[in-house]
Parts: sequence; structure tokens; C-alpha cells
Amino acid sequence: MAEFTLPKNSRIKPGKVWPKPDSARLTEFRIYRWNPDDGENPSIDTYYVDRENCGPMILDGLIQIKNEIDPSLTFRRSCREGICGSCSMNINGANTLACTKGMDDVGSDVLKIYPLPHMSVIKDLVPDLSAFYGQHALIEPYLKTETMPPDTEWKQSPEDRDKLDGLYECILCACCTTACPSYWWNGEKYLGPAALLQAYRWMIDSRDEGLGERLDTLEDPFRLYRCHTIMNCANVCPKGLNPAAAIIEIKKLMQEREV
Amino acid sequence: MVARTQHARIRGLGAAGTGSREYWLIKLTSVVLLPLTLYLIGVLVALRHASHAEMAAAIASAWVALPLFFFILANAIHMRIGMQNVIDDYVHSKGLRKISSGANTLFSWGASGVALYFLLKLGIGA
Repeated sequence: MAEFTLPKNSRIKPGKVWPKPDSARLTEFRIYRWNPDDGENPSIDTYYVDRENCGPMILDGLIQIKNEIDPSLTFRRSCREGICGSCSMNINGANTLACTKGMDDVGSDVLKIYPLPHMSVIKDLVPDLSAFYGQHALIEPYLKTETMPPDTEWKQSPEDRDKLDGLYECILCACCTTACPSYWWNGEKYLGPAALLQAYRWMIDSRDEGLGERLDTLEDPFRLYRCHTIMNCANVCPKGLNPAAAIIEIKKLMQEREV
Repeated sequence: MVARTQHARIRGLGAAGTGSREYWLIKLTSVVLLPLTLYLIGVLVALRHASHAEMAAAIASAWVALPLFFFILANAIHMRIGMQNVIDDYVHSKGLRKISSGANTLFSWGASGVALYFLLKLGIGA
């Protein structure tokens, strides 16, 4: 059966409270910590970030903690402008990108930061995304053609190009997939919103010739049909995309073929 | 099955090649059941003071028996697929999944079979 409680070694214990710096403007960070090497349970460490010497984003706060308070804090980050998708994490109950979320935008003086939910944790805020990437690879996210390639580029009308808007912007941050209860229960069989949004992006690309094969890959009670339009994916997407709508479009294509 | 890599685990046994037909059926039966349910609720309300004989006579009439027949049929399909979705979502142990899927099919068609039997009995008057 689906598990609704954490195993004993995953239960979170109180952690270290780091000293408050001398500043009039502090923000409290409560951060999930887990080190695979020490054999201990996860804990929540509390840090105080001096806002006078820190940028406005939550990632700025995390970087300040790592640079000035606790260098052992581990998290992914790269572009710091919402393009790479590295710093996705769960902040005050919602998956988002730490780099595009302002400390003042959360609506609370306390920031509770956890890794993306329901994924194996590698360390601290770093989840294991290898299954997520495997699911993305499964949908073959590239142009599939049989026709001989043209001498120049594959042509596409502006109207056909417009159909890719709202799909191509996905940065594979995994916020949507790890917010989806269907993915929590069947993470190895259900492909999840991000992979399915990407699948649809290639299905409706006017240059692609692999639509039938792409539909064959998804014709499965688990790979596609675990989506129950819960909409958590659309609610949390930091790029404002709607994977649930893309999944509905895939189901319509399936129906067009089936009925 | 032994899956040695993450990619092998994700690919698993491949796509089952099913799903769309059941998705279509559950949507279709939803649409069919909506007017049928409202109609039969209306019949029940209209017959709320009826005696047993009047009730049996009403059910035996084509105006009630036929909607009831299709209601039972659509309900069996809808119930089986709906419960199968719940099983697929939450039951992960292979053995338990097989048992609960089988029980679901047997119960849906079994209960509907019993209902249809008594409907025919009332309708034909056997």
C-alpha cells in the first residue's frame, strides 16, 4: 500500500540553532539537514540571515548562510535567474525556485525550507533526480523525422511556432512533478507532469514525424493515465506553465486515435 | 524482473498498450449515468408512497425497466474502472494488486449480474 508515514530513520529531529547576528533586520531560515555519512536522522537547523547585507531572494539568503555561517549546508544553484532550474526546493510548503522567490514574498517571517518532496535525498536540500531525468529521456525530447533533412533548416510557420508557447519554456526544475500526489504514489511508473508536458511539446511540433510512436509510448494506465488533473503542477510551476492542460491535450490525441 | 539501471527501471516492461479505451469508457458512462440517475431518482420520488405491488408493476414497465437496465450496466463499467483507478493509485504490492483487481472485477459484474437478474425476474414476472 501507499505509505503515509515516514520510516523511523527519516523522522525529522530538532537541529542546531545558530547564533543571531547583531542586526535590526533578520530573517529566520529553518532548513532541512541530512548527511548520509553521519548515520543520524534528518534535522531542522535554524539560521538568522542579516538582511542588511543580503540580496532580496531566498537563494541570496542560502548563499549567505553557506558563505558566512555554515559552509556544510548543501544545495544546488547555478544561474540565479530562473533559467537553469537547479535551486528548486520546497519553501513554506510549496515547491518553487529559491532564486526567483523573494524573502518578502512568502508572507511569513520564518522560511521553512525542505528538499523537493517525496524524492530520495542525496544531502540536505539536494534530491536525487535521476528517475526524473530518466522519465524525460523516455519521451524522446528531440525532433524525430523520417523525411530527408532539408538543405537549410526545418521550416515552421509562425502559427505552428506559436503552438509551442507555454510548453518550450519548461526548465525541468521538477517543481511540478514532485508536487504531484500521483507521482508520489507511482513515481517509477507514472511519468509525471514535467515529462508529459515535454512529450506534448514534441507531439505538436509541426516538424516532428513521430506522433504515433510518441502516443504508443504513453499508451499505458500508469505512464499517462495516473494524472487525475489535481492541478498541483500548474499551481507551483515557477515559470507559470500548465502541465495539466498539456496532459489533457495528450489524452485528447489518444481519444482521437482510439474512438 | 531485475532492473539494473535507473533507465531500465523507468522503462520497466514497456507501455501496456491500454488505458485510452478505459478512459473513454469512464467518461462516457459518467455522461450516460447523469440523466439516468436523475430520472431514476425522479421515479423513486414519484413512487415513494407506492405499495410493493405498485412498485413491482412500475419496475416491470418499459419506462422504468429499460433505464434501470442501462443504469445497472453503465454503473458496473463505471464502478469497475473507477475502483481500478483507486487500486492503481494506492495498492503497490504486486500480489495484493492482483487480488484486489480481480475482486473489483468480480464484485462489479457480480453485483450488477444479481441486480439484472432480479430486474428481469420483475420485468418478465418469472
